[in-house]
Amino acid sequence: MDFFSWKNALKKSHINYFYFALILFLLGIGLNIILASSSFLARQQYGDPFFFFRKQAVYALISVIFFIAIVQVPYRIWKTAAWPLYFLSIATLFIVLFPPLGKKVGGAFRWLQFGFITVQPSDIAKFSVILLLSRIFANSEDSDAAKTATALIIIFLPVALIAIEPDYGTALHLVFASFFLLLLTGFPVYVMGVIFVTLLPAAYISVSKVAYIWERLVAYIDPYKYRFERAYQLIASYRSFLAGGMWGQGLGEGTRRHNLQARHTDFILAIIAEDLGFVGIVFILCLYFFIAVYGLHKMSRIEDKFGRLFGSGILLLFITQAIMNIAVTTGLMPTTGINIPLLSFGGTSLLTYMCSMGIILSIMRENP
Amino acid sequence: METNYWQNIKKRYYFIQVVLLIFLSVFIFRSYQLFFFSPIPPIERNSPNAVKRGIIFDSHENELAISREKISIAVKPKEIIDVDQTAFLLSNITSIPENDIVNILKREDNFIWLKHKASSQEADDIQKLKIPGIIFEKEHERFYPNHHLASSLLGFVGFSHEGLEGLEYQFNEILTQKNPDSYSGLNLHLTIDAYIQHKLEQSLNSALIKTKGSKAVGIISEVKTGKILAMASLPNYNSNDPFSGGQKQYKNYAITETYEPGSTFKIFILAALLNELKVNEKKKYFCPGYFEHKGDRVRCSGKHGWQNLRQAFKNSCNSVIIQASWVLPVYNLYENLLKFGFDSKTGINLPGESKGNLPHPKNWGKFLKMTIPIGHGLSLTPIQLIKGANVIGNSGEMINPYIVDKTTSPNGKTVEEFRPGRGIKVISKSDADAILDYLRGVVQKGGTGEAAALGELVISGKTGTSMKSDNKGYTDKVQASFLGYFPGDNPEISILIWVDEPEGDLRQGGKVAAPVFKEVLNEIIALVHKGESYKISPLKNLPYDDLKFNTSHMPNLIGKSKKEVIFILKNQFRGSHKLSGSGYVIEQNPPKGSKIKPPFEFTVKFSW
Repeated sequence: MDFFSWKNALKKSHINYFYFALILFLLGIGLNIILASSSFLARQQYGDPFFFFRKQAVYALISVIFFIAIVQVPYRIWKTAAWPLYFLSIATLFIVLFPPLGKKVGGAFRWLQFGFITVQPSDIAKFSVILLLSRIFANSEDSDAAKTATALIIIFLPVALIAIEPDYGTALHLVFASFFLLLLTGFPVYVMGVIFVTLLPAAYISVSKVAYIWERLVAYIDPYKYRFERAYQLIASYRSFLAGGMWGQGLGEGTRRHNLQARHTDFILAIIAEDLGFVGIVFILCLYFFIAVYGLHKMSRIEDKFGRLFGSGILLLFITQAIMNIAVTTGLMPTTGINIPLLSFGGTSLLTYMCSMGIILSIMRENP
Repeated sequence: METNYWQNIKKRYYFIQVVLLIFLSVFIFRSYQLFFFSPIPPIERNSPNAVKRGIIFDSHENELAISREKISIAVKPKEIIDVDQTAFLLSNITSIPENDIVNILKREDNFIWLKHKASSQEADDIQKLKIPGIIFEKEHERFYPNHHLASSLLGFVGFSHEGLEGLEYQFNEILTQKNPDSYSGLNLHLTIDAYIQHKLEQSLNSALIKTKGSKAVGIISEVKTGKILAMASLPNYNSNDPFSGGQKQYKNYAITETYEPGSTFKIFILAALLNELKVNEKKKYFCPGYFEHKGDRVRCSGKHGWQNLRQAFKNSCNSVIIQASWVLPVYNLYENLLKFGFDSKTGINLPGESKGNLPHPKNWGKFLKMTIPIGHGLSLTPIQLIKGANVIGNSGEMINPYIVDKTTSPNGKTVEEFRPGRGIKVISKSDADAILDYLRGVVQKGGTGEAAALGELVISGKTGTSMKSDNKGYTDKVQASFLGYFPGDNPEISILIWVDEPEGDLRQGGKVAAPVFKEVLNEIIALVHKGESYKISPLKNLPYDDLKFNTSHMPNLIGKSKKEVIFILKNQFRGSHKLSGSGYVIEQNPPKGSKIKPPFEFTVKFSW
């Protein structure tokens, strides 16, 4: 593709400005909530109430630049990057397990340190799995059996590596998102049923073998019993909801948050509950689901198979992660350590999601 | 084929979209539930239970109030399988009537408390039974190791651990302040010295019994710093069990009770006279046993005859002091009294402080012009009186009294200090010294306060016997008080003793309150006096590791401190023990060396 055809593509561009604004709006809300939720902690730990906010704002600025740039890039170039990116993420997932290359945070190796920047390889891995799956199923020359086998291996490898870190939440998320994506490829439903049934005993074994999952599960089943220990966060989250009421206490006004440890990351929804109330929570929930449902609706009309699958996959990653986070915060699911896309504090997560959203808009632009 | 494929794909998209919308509605429903039908039980909603209340220390870091962990037992009735069997077992252990338990277990709730702050024995026993649906919760219990000591000052906490009275109430937020790094609130450090407080309460208590008074107040303060070393208000209560014995009075009379100060107020009249240069040392006045003005009389305690002002103070002669004050214009006198802060609260950091009433001269009329100089027709709180009196002890400078020294974080770092600023000059040093000189005579032989004299020590003071009024006028009830300084010539501490409604023949301040002053001073002099070389050995650290005993024989506890005993019993002799009093062990049962076996039941009696 030479320079001039790029220029032509731009000329005929149909950027979905509505969707574009929606994403930036969500990002803006996220920054506000981070300031409201983290200033107390930041002042206590770093003597600067804007510590977390400033960090996130810098990432947000970089992310927006990438986002706008990626909207202009023809999305097909990602197809060529599928395999290299996949191998790169497998490699980094492997490297992260070995200190001192991998950085141990809270008993797990999830981070790679490059100078002062830390990167979570699993963030990139999730993206690359979706990309590679889209590429394979867009290719109509391969036989169905070969595709199925390859797809399962492609999913299994990073899931296993992420589980070793250990980061069961992210592993589960990847399984969840790829499962939905396989459904959209036209994958035979009975095969999916078989896979699902075989996964059940594996899930049971891993849960019963790993003490910390078990503890979280017990705390989940009866959080009140463990409210001073394992379910402390969850009960603190409940208290935030209770304190919020219909209209909330006003942005940055709530006080229940002081009990929440992960207040600006995994439990940021509890802060929204306390500050913006039931009305605020419903608005945020609707915003997330609208972005996903409307996006999937647009994707379902795209004739280019790669574009359709890749876009749908990204949206599925986005919404399943949100679902998991919401379920944890509201006590419908055991604590997983999964944050909520675009709202939670965290640089690489924000950057990957903004880039992904750029790709969605790029796909929409080229398939009006 | 192609359209078929597309239809199939479209269907799958619809399917996922519908699934997502189902998720959305579940989440909206769930948040609705969390917002308006929270799973957190109502009783727990506002309780600061998760935060461990900070400790209240005295000035030597002795614990006056601590929080300790207890286990509370709750049930989830829906999970109980066999109601009757469970009720039977629980009833046996907790000694709650079986019927009551059955009623609890049959309720429809998710979560009901069965027993709060159960003994560890009970909790252990129930835990061993492994009954389904029983929940054990760690809870914090507020404990006051000295029980009654300083209760009116400390106050107490309510059922969900919130401060209801006293310092617990006033500093509730600080004591329960949330801290991301720890679940403990800030600690409170008082200026109170537990030993001095104890001695004061002890002496006041026996005085109250002896004189059949209705209540008593004692305040001991450092005149130069404004520190309150002890503040007692009787009758008091046990902070560990404030609700037993029906409705009670929890007031701290030292700051809430306004009364007519009577003769102790003459000190400030003298200050006004000295300040306005109206004192003639040589002038003699005649006391006929009363003071008369336009047909109205104020009685004096006796016919004192010819006296100079100094003698009049020694005799607490009403007549002469009114005569001496007569030369001072009322506005002039009023302004001089105002400087001592008698029209405002002292600002001490305690809840419910009242302020007395110093009437404006335009309302004095002929009566108050006679009675104000002898401390009637106006009212003060004991703490207001001490604040004013400390001006004289502190070379004429006024300092606000304070009782909370500082707050510290759980790791011991100082968070905030509450020390008052520099004093305000109210009267000159020479006037202050002159007043002390007058007051020294009061405590000498023949003075009204001679019962306060302690050996050869230099003491200054003033007695007060005020008549009590009700809404009809003055009654025959009195309030006896004594205000004293030690050392009398260069005061370090001031002590105010006040007894309300003493009965019997000896009702004057000099007979009721002055002896208490002497008794208390005698007990605490070694601790407070810095001028001489009294040696006080500091409390040594307890050798906890050495306190290991053979559990088959009763150890010798005699002479051990309460702290040590609690440590020993908690670690090695668990059971239900009866500990009474505080201080050091004087009696124990079973006697040392006798054979014992669990469960242990000791009776230990402490010195106070």
